[in-house]
Amino acid sequence: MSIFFLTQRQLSTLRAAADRIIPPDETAGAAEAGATDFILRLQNNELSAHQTAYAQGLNKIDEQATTQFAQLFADLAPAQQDIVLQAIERNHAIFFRMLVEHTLEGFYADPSNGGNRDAVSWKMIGYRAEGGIW
Amino acid sequence: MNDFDAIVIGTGAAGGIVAAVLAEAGQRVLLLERGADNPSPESPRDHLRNQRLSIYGHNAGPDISDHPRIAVAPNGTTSLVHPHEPGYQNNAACVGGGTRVYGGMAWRFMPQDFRMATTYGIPAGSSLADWPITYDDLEPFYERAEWEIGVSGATGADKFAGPRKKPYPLPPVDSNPERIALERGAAKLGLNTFPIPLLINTIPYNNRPACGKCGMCIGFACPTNSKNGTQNTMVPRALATGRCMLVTGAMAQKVHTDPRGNATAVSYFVNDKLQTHTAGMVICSAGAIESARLLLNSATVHHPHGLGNDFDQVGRHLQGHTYTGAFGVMPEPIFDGQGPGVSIATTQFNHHNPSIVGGGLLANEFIKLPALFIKWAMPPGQPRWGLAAKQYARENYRRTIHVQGPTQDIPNPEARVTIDPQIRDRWGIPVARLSGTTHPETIRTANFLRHRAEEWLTASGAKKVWSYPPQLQLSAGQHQAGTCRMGNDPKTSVTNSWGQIHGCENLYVIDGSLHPTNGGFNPALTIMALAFRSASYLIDRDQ
Repeated sequence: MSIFFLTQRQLSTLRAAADRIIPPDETAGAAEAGATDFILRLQNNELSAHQTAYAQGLNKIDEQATTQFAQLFADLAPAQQDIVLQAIERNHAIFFRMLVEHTLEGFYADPSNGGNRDAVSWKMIGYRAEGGIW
Repeated sequence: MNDFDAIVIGTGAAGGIVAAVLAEAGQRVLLLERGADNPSPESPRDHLRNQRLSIYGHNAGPDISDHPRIAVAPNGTTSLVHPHEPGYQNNAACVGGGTRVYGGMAWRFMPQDFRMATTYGIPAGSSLADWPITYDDLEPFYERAEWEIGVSGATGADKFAGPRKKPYPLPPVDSNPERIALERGAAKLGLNTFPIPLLINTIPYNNRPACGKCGMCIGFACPTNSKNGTQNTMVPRALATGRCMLVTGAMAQKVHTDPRGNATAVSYFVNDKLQTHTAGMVICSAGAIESARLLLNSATVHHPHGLGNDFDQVGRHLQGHTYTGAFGVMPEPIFDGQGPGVSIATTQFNHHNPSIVGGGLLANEFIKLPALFIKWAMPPGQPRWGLAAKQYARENYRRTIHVQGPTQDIPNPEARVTIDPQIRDRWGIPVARLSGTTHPETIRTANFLRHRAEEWLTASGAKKVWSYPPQLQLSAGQHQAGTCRMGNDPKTSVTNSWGQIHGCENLYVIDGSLHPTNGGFNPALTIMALAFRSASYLIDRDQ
C-alpha cells in the first residue's frame, strides 16, 4: 500500500489520534483494528483529493500538541491527547469530523475494508458474534 | 419485417415481467439493460459500497462515472452528481434492477390509495389525483405477482388491507425479540400488527432455497438466491422461450417515431457503438427518471418537446417516499442477528388520520449493519468519539429498536425530471436534471407518523426514544414514481391506464412512472402488478 503522501511522523500521529477516537479498552482500539490501513487505502483511491487536507490536519494536531505540551502528539499521555483533539475539534472542525467519520467507517465496516481486523468491532457489539459465512 | 415484435427498455420490476409475458405469448423481444448481468462480482458484500450505504461507491450500478445527473437543491444550488452521491436519486441498474438489491417488502396498495383526490381533496399546489383504475382492477395482478415472483406473508392478518382472493404462496417470516417487544407496545395502543409480506422465500419456492438469514437483504444481492426479483424469476422465463434477446450494457439513446408519434425503432449504445433495431412496439421500463429522460430525449419535429409531452406532463410529479420513524433504546437486547430482521408492521396510520392527508405504514427495520448503526442510529447529543462513544455502541447496538416507514408523498407538479441543456453523459446523451421538492403536506403527514412511531416505541418499553424531523426535499430514489402518470385526460396525464402514450398506437411506459400517487408503501409489488396487467393487455390486443 502506498503511503508516500504522509510522512512517518504524520502516520504516527494518525495512528495515535485514531486510538483516541476509538480507544483500546477490553477490546481493540481503532489503531490495532487497522484504522490507518483503512484511511490510507481511501486516500489512495476514492479520497485522493483529501490527501493534502489529511497531511495538513495531522500537522495541525502536532502543532497543537507542541504548543500545549511541548511534545509530539504520539508521545503524549492519553488524557493530554484528548485535550489536544478537543482543541482540534473546535479549531479545525471540518478536518476533525472527517477524521472521526473515516475512523468509525473503517472500524465498523466489513473486515475486508481493512479497519476492522478479525471483525473486532462486530464481536464487540454483538453483530455476527459467532461469525458467519458472508 | 421488424427486427423484433417488441423492444423493452429496462429489466427491473416492470421490464422483466413485460418481456416474459410477451415472449411466452410468442413475441420476439429485445430486452435492453444498461447495467450488468452480475453486478460487482469483486466486492458484493462491501458495507461501505452498496445500494444502501454508498459512501464510496455501490454494488449494483449504474457505473459511477458514465451516468451523471444534475441535481437542483431546494435553495436553487445546482450540482453535478454521480450515482452513489446524495441527490442522485439512484435505483440499481443491473439485470433485475432494484429488485436485485431491494429489501423485498411486498405491499399491495390499499383501495384508498387509488382514490387519493376523491378521498382527501386536492391540497393547494399539489397534483394529487385518482388513479384511472381501482384496487379491484389491479387485484388479480397483485395475485399473479405474489405467486409468480414469490411472496411470504400472513394472509388476512392486515385488517386494513383490500380484499384478496388467494392466500400468500409462502408462510410469513419468523418472529424475533424486536417484534415481540413491538407487539407488546401495539397491544397497549390498540394497533393492528402483522408479519411483513416479503418477496423472500421462507421455504423453498420456484426451485430456489429458503432464506439463509444472513441479514444482508437491503442493498445487496441475496447470497442464497432466496430473495425474489425479476432477475431470478421473469427474466429467466423470458430467456427460456428462446424468443427474448437480453443485451446488457445497453444504453438507450432514443426512441424513433413516425410523424404520428408511433414508435418504429430504438437506438442504443453497446460498447460505445450505436445500434438501431426496429420493432412493432416499444416499452419504456427504465424507471421514473430514465423513462422520462428517454421520452424527452426522443423529441422530433413533430413532437418537439419530447414523446408524449404535448401537454408538458412528462417528467412532472416526480415522487418517491419521505421516510420517517423513530429510534429507541430498550432495557434488554432485542437484536438476534437473524435476517431479514423486518418482521412486524402496522397499516393503522395509512389512512383515517384526523386532518391528515394519507399516511404510511410503520415497520421495524432490516438488520442494521454496524456501519449504518454508527451513521444513522445515534441519539441526539451522543459523542461520536472517545471511550464513551465506543462504550455506547458496545452497550446499545443490540438494544436499539427502530420503527420507520414510507410516508405517502403528496405529489408536486414542480418536482420534476427535465433534460439538462448542457451536461451530457459518456455517449453524448443529455442527462436528467432533477428539481423541486415534495409538497409541504407530505412533511405534515410525515411528522404525524414519526410521533406515532415514537409512541409505539415508548409503549413497547423503550427507555429513550428519539426521532428527526423530516425535511422538505425531493424524494424519488429507489421508490421513484409518477413522471408519466396514467389517466383519462391527455392534458393532465401521459398514458392511459395500460401505459399506452395518449394518441399513440405502440409506444408504452410500464414502470413506476405510471403511478399518479405512490401509496404509503414500498411500491415494488404495485409496479409488478401493473406490469402484469399492461403486458396482459398487450398480448390480448395483438391476438
